[in-house]
Amino acid sequence: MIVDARELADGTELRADVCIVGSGPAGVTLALELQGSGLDVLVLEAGGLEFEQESQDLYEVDMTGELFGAEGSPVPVSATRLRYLGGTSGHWAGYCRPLRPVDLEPRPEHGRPGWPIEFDEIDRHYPRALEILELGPNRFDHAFWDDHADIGPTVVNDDAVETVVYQVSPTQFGTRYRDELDAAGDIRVVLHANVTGIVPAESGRTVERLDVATRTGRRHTAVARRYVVATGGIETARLLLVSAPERGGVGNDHDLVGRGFCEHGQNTLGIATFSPTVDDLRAYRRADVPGPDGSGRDGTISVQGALLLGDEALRREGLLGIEAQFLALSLDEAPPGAVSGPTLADAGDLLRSFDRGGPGAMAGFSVTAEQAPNPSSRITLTDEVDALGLPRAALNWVVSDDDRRSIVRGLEIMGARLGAAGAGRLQVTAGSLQPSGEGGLLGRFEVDPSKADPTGFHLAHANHHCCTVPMSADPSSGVCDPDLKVWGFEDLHVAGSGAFTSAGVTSPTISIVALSVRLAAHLREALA
Amino acid sequence: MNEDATRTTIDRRTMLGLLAGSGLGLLVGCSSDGSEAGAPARRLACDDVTGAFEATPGLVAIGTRYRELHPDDDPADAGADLPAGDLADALRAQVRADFDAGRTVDVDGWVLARTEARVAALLATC
Repeated sequence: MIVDARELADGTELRADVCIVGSGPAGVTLALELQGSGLDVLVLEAGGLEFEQESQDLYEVDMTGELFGAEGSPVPVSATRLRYLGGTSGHWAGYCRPLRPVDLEPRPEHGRPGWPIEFDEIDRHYPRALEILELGPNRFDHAFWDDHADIGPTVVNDDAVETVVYQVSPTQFGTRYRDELDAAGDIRVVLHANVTGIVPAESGRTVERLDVATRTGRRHTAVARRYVVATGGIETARLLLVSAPERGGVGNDHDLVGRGFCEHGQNTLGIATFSPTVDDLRAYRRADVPGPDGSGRDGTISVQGALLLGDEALRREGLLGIEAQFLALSLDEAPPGAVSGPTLADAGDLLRSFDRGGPGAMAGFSVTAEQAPNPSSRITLTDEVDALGLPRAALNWVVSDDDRRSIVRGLEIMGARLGAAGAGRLQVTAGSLQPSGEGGLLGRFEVDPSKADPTGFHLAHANHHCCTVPMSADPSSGVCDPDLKVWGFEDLHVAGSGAFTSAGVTSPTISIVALSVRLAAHLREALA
Repeated sequence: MNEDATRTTIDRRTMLGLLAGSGLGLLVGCSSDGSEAGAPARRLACDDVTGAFEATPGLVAIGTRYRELHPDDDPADAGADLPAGDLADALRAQVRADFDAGRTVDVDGWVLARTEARVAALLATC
């Protein structure tokens, strides 16, 4: 059922077996997976059924360091999240691809720790996550989708640079699962229930209660056998930090809560001219195909190919993950002008002289890149308080020179493999692609090589807030254990991308959902 | 993650070559003059490259810029490892081999095979 905290008698004590804070993909998945287990589930959602500006205002964050948004057009952090039923899934793009084993490995040269769980611990839950996300089978390789639906050939697909295929489904959890949550006899969703504090018991090892407030002034409490904070990478850290201030926050004995904030840096960092035609590169454009065995939403799944730096290159050179989608793939619109140096048209002459011919297409390389967890990239609290009296969060997003060098090297490898395949030439434009004039999407830019800056180019955000309460093998290096239980507590868990040990290079939602499926299985067993 | 049956497998030697360069502009995998020990090194001349490729404006632009950025490189060395036979075909194969082995050069961010950059540089001056 779904109720409203504003309509409960002031001072209501809400009781349940499992209390979940937050109703985004992590929280809703957990609740749905606990349905029918014999456990009473309570979901505390700070917002309502729809967007409310007053609720959203509670998400305001002070931002320093790297700024979200395009260069010169910063985006407030609050705009990257949504505070109502379904959480940020209310406006996500829906791109899904699982993590890979290589993403979980340590990368000590970058200070990236390894995950404390085997890959299978996540992998075996992806099929269920795909169902919840209204997607198809656990296949993200080009061969499968090309066999299934003739999505088109690859431009590069080898051990160094793979073509992977995203499945795309922007399932809005608040819309898609609202009726199911409302109908469930063992799930209570309480709207407008802002959790203002986690109150530890005297022992310090368990939670005595959660304090809950409405914007209308009511105060409630929640008591459960287990608590799960699933409010996103920023808010989860904030809630742990504002709670139990006398002990420096909850789960913060080692001053790790909020540290290591990772995003996926995104920008157009290269332009390419291809021998294949636009049609021959259709695998890299989004297309709707029939869902295998009737899977997908209404039997249809959107797919789109991308280039991914392969496992061998990542391991041998110790690089962080990087992938590229093709932006404005065409041959029709005006290409970027060049202030100096060889242009796309000049590079086209290389294709005619040395390769299969062409050019048949051109595109921007829209890059998504991993960054290594960095202690100075972090969530802290400000002196300013919100309308509920809670200190606001501050985010200092730091991308290191080392992170950027890894991106440039990854692009160089992609360029070399493109040439080895006789398929095209890549210009790494890190910092040198500048806005200019009018025209098509690419034509609005020019390349000024003098502005190339391999350690200073701009990276925009991807709305992926990761690694702020990371999973670790021991309490000195993370905030939660491999079962997502906050170190030092017997009954407090976290869920969501904040618990990722590292961020990988793929969109996190499918892994958030898979880890929630896994956590639900753990709680079912633990509370049976 | 499922294996992709259509993916190309790169042999270990190629992979090591590809990965040996830690940055563009670093030339690897050849002796100082680019020749195999004991084999006579062939040097490309203007007549060679103009007979094999058209000096298009694009190639000339690339070659000119390559010379500016890499003044110490001798483009004539592009012929050092070429087998006998059709020159254009041999150079095309060497371009592909350069990319495969990571013998790439940086020309204003363009990731180019060393051989194609050298051929373009010769065309720019012929």
